[in-house]
Amino acid sequence: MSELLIEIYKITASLLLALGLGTVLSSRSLVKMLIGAEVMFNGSLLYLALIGTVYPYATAIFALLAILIASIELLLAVSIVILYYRTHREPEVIKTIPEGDR
Amino acid sequence: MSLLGDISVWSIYFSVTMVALISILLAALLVRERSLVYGSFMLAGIGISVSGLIAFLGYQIIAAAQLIVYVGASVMLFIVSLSMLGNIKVKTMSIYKTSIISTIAFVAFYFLINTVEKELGYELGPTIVTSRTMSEFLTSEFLTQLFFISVSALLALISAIYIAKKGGAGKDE
Repeated sequence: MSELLIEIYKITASLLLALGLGTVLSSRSLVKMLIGAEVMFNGSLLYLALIGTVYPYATAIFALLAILIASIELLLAVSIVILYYRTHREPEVIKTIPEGDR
Repeated sequence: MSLLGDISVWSIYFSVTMVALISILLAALLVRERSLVYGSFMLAGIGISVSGLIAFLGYQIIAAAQLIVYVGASVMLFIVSLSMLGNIKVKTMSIYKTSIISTIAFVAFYFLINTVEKELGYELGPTIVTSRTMSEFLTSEFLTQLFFISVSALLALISAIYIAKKGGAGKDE
């Protein structure tokens, strides 16, 4: 595989990880943080697939299991977020502490 | 080398570059996106383009699993659930702070990835993964992991049903 294609994969994986981290830190919303974490998962999956071409079958199985776990985690997080939104009626996770309670 | 050979090589370069650019563009737009529903659609787009990049490396089975299980089931359910909550808009940090954080993170991650790749010492390249050999591996070498993940999936399903029921019961009271 040419060096250029490997560089494209490395840059894409790094950018996905960085932009996912930026998404997580850019908002106080639980759902936005979750979406950012999923973007980081996609970046790390891409990097795992690139590096793991040395041991293809073990990498394929690790990637498959990682996708399964990420899907399970996403579905569970969705139900928690919906319950939180029903209770608090707002998507933000950090509230301003009132003056008297500081 | 014939012209046809050159075209196929350049078409691979072009395809990989375009799919990578699509995923990066969607991730960049997601940072500043205020609507959660549109953000989850962008996540689906990122999942689809990443599965395309994985398929180019030779892991067609993994790309299919990513498309069917992750994007097709989980992210779609995520989008439907968020749509039911209404069009929620959230505040985002200023673009300058986000850019600085993302740039520093990109440099750090790229340096880490580069170091690991150099230390590995092997030549990276596309591979071929057949489903028969993968099934044999999964049921022989990774049977324990498969068992634990199946149990975790079952527990997660039960927890999700309990959480959903608890939310509905609370509303009725």
